[in-house]
Amino acid sequence: MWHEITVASPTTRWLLPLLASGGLLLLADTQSDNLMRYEHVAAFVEIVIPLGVMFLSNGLILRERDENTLVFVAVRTSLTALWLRRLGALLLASTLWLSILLTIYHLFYFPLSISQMLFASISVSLALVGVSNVVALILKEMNAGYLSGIFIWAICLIADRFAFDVLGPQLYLFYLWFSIREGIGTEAWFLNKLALTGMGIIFILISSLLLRSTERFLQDRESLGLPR
Amino acid sequence: MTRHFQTLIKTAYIEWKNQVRQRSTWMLAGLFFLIGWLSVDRQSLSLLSAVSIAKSTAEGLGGFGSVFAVVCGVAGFLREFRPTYDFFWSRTFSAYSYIVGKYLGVCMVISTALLPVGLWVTVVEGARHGFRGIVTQVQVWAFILAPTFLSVLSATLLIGLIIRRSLLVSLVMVLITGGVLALSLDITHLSGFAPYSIYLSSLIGYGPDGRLVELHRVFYLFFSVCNLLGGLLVVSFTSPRLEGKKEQRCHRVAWGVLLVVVLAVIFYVGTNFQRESDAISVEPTLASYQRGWLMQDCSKFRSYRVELSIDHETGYLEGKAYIELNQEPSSRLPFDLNEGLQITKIAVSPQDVAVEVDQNTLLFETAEQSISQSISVTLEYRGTLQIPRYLYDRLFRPEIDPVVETYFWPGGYGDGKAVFLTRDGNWHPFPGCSLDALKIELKEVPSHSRMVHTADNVVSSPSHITLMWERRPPLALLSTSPHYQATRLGKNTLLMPSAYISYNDQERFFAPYFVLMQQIDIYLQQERPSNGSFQIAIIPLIRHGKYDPSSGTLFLPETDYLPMRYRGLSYSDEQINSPDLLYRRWVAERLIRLWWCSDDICTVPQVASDSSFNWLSDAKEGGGTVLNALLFYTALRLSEPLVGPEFVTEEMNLHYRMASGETWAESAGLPWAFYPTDIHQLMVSLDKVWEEAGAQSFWRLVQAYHRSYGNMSLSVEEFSHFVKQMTGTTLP
Repeated sequence: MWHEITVASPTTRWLLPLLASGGLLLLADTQSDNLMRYEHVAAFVEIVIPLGVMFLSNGLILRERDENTLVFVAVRTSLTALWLRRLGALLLASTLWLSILLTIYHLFYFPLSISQMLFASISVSLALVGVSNVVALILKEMNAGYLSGIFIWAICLIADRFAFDVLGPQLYLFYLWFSIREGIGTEAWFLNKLALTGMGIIFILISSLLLRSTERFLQDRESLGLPR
Repeated sequence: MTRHFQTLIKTAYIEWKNQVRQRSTWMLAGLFFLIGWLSVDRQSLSLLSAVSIAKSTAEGLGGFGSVFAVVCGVAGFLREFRPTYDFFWSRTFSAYSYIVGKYLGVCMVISTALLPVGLWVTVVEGARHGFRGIVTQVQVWAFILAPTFLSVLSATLLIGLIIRRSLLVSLVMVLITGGVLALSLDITHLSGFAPYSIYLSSLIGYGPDGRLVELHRVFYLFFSVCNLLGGLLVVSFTSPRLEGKKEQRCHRVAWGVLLVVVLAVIFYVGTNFQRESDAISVEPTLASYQRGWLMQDCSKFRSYRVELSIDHETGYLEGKAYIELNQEPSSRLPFDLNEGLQITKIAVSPQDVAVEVDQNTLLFETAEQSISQSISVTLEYRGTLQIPRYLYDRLFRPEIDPVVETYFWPGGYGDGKAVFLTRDGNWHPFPGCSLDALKIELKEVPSHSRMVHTADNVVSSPSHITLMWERRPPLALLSTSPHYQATRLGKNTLLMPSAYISYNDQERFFAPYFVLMQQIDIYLQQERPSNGSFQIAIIPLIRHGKYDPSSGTLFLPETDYLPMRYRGLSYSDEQINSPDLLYRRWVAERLIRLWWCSDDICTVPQVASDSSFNWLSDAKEGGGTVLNALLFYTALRLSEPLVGPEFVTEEMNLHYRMASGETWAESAGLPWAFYPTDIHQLMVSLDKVWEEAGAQSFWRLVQAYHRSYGNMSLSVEEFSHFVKQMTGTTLP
């Protein structure tokens, strides 16, 4: 899987560690207000990391399509399986780096629930990945995926109150950050993250179906003597 | 040179052609459309001026659009920066022209993606405000939106050329733009990528913000040029091929000179921007509000008159204040002159009186042996009015004190686009003291300028008008602008900026004022009634209206909450909930309060907040209950020709029910909706007085109260006695 992700998206090798290292800048924050620290961590975990994951996920298959090398890949294996494998590797890698960062935060910055933050980050990542990939695969362009992902991300970030009103507490992306910032209580965060995870998985499944419809080379594998 | 230019144009064209064929470009157009659509308050669309539609769409697109433009820019700029494209870069063409061409091409793509939303806004502007609205849209978009996109794309280009990895560049730029917009991480301290929350008026453009906005836009244009030059430098270092030596030297010299010039301009503009921003963004303290006017001691004044000269083109003021004072051996006279005006000369008579200025106070010293009856002082001052942001009618207004809600303290504005003055402003040194006479000379008045004034005498010659008030001037003084459009509504005149409101809405929103002004003239204005024709002028920057009943002149704020209130009401068949009738009822409420404080009776100007009418009265008890009830009832009776007798009956029925402690949801749209029970009880009592004593007695009662007590709210017992005295009827 590691080989798969490093070949398909070499940027992952250095972008995720780079983002995680960027997160270490918070350690330079000298203020002692724990609520502010909590908000900063939530912002990084919910806003910055998922954006990076969304950007990386969009190129997992479509970068090769743009470079006209996907045909070669498609005769090798099922695109759905390939994409899910790569996505899994990407999510694992991002979780790994995030876990390291959160452990450092926990030890040196602010005592927090690592599992809560991990879940918060992964659910937002899944939602953004799902939406952007569905759009990218429907329109068959990587940029379309970026635009749709950024659109939702930017609406939730820049027009946060408007987005919260429109999407509701279940589907608003940055619930943890928003609830700390607005002081509305974080009780509903689990439900929110669960809903986002569900939505993300549904969109990822739709993306898989969309990929299957493009696998025109796979049917000839047996005639070519290729393994199934 | 021609070859370079050809490369540039061809590159731009091919880039545009490539991207326009992509689905993501049209998705971008869709997103732009969505943002534009969401940026406009469509419910109030018919009430929005051309400039506010253009401004809100430009700001929305400038903010959110910047984030999407980054993705489009990265795709275009970095398409050819891949290892396998080195061959392409070694061909004989100018890399500089190619980069600039790419930049132009991406700008063209963004413009293309903006076309759908641009066309929609054009249709809206055209339908609402005609050709003038479309011109406004083009101007505002060019000023607000274009530099924003140019700077974001140039920054993307520079970072792209340095990093050369599209994914990372996109991520970095999205995080930067998102961070600047959402988290106020404005590292440049230049208000982010677009001048948000600026004052933009149909009449005075950016008004007091004008210079700030200009500097801001110029800064970002030069910032874009600087980024482009930086990008070219990066290319010259990293490009695999070398230009010819001679060509290279020429390029470097030109590049170096240009970069120095651009950096110098950026430094100059940035410094001036900061200075200007500090000047108008100053945060006031309560003490600074109360300084001057509220503290001014007018008891020493025997007479006070002002002669003012205003240059319409520049807004430059030159004034002379003539003050006659009771003489004391030594005295202090605090004055409050706008920060933009400086005292240039002080002349005193008799001459043995020593006078000096200590901050904002005139200090007089007279030798004991030479004390005479009075001192005559002539103060000469000049400059331009400085209007800090906290005094605008809607922005940056701190909640320091309810009193500050009432002021537009400079009391005037002047530039080539408009000049207006109201009486109580710090354009003269003692705005808290009664002016006995006023003379205003307007110079360089454009020939096509339209004017509303309340002067007693006018002398005019081409481009030169002199206005004279021989008695105490009213609150509303003058308003003039070449951008005013005059509309006749019957005998009355409405002066408003062009592309401000549609013709149908002019009738709906302004005709009730004229009817009510006439009502006031007939029933309440005993002294100096108007000549029967009335005029309304729309004024920027002020929050509340000013009314001079003797000349029939009403100043209304450009950003008015009453039409918005009308739009907020849902339509109902019931009279009491009909938006049209409720609007007229609100207008009556506003106008009676403006009339009440139209002269020097109120110690502080009238207040009307967005949600209800507050009354700053010298209440003896009950927070102005009696006065409020009297005004509510008077407004209701005055509005009868507009709302009809059925509405009046329905409203009075509500008062009867609320007086007995019931609460009724259907009264929510009425001006008194959230007032306590004793107001309703008093209104019921006043209704009985109306029924028993008759209309004429009631109007006499109101006139007498206005004349005798002004802004003072009597106790219920005192009021009861007063009613008995005036009408012969006992207050039930």
